Amino acid sequence: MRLAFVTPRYGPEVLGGAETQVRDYAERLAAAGHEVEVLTTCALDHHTWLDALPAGESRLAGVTVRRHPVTRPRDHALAARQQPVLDSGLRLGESGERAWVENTGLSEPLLEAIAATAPRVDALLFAPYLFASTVLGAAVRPDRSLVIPCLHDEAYARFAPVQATLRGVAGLIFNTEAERDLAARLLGTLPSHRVVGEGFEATGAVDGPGFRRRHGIEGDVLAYAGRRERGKNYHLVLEYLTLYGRALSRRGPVTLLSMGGGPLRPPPAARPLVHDLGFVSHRDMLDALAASLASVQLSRMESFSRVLMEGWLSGTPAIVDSGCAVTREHCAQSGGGLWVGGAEEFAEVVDRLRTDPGLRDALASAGRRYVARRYSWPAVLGRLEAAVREMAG
Amino acid sequence: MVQEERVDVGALVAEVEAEVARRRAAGDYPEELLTRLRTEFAVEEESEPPEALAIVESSRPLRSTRPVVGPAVVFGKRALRRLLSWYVHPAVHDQNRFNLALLRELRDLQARLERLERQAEGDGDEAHG
Repeated sequence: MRLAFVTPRYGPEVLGGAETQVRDYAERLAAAGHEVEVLTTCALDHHTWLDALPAGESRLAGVTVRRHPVTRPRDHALAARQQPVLDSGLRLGESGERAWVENTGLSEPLLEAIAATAPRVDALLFAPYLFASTVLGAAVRPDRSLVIPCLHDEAYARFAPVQATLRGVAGLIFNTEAERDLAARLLGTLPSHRVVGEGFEATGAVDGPGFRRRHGIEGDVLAYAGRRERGKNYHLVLEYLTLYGRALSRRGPVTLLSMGGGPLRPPPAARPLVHDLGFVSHRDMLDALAASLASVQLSRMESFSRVLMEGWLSGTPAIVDSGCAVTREHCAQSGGGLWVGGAEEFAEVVDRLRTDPGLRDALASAGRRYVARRYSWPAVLGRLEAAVREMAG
Repeated sequence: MVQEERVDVGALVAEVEAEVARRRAAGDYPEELLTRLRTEFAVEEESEPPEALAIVESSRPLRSTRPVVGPAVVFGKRALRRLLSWYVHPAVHDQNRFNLALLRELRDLQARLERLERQAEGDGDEAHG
């Protein structure tokens, strides 16, 4: 097949679940013999949308990448006016929503490239859902467009221009059944759609004890890996950790191995309980997960949650929020993790994991088997190829 | 050795919820301490400081998306803005003075609160020591 991915930012220096997923898909499909190109902007930062890379064509891991300059510079004053309105739970109105979308790295040359590319490829694949490259790009040739939305239950998913685009395309590719159900609730009638998910390889040997030695870590630890921001409920991780350590634990406090970047810092009460590792290599992250009682992921803004899978592959069970349909579904289907609805339940679960190594092993093994069964690369690529053929055909 | 046994996680979560309900009913949880911790618990976020938003701009770039008549529309807006400036500018100036005065007060309060928190933390350590 000849395929073109369209994504606002692309490259190994771009962090983020959806961005990693697009790169993985593009590289794996290219390695499987498909002709794959990526249409993207020159930007790397989704706050500034400044052109950081040169425009033009390059090759990256077997994939042809065509970059186009951002032609609508970020209007920070507009963003500063609109964000408080959204944060207050209010709507921007359709023209405001359109202005919001156009303020996310709009590139007119990219839209022209999409129009020029559409006739010579079997499908255009857009991801994720909320940026100008998808909302406006997939509307250029909706009949040739498939969107991998990576949808979250958030204000942007209710924007009228976003919903119009998602309803009008040839097909949607979801990461989980729970994401599909969310889309059905938001959009009403869905176009053709399939559930595919992300692919993983076995991690190889992980070294939890070595990680402990290297970082001088003693005692029981939990792990958090991801963006440290309110949207990911990191503040709730810190709160539960603090309440557990200072009031609820029957076995004393635990330490949180905190990995990633973001604006949230632990409040004074939580600081002694947090071991801040900042950004770490992928290998170190897997070792840190292996050294931990559980990976804690209380975010409700997930369309898939890579870190849950990586925890299971590292031999670590998961603790997730009962209000997140996606992560809860993963745990229920795999038998690899437990969901909690408050600090007291969190404490009860952590106490059980600390006292019952057999439970920990059984949860982690079930999680690992789930990843191997459903999200091995051969299984995922098979579903992806079938989805593209059936929906773009 | 890999354990092939599958845990019924739904049942285990239900068991955890029941245990929490039982302990809560039995008064096992230190509610006073939990309430105090929850109240005290606040996360510092490095969001855009209010100083960045305190100054209200009275003039923004003028644009029109209308073809042909766009330049005339922009010219009209510019003329109107100039005609109203005697009214708008003093109001914006007053608003900016108020915003900055409020921010100064907030920052003073924040500094006092931090001083008191540090003091209270020191007292607490001494009491425990």
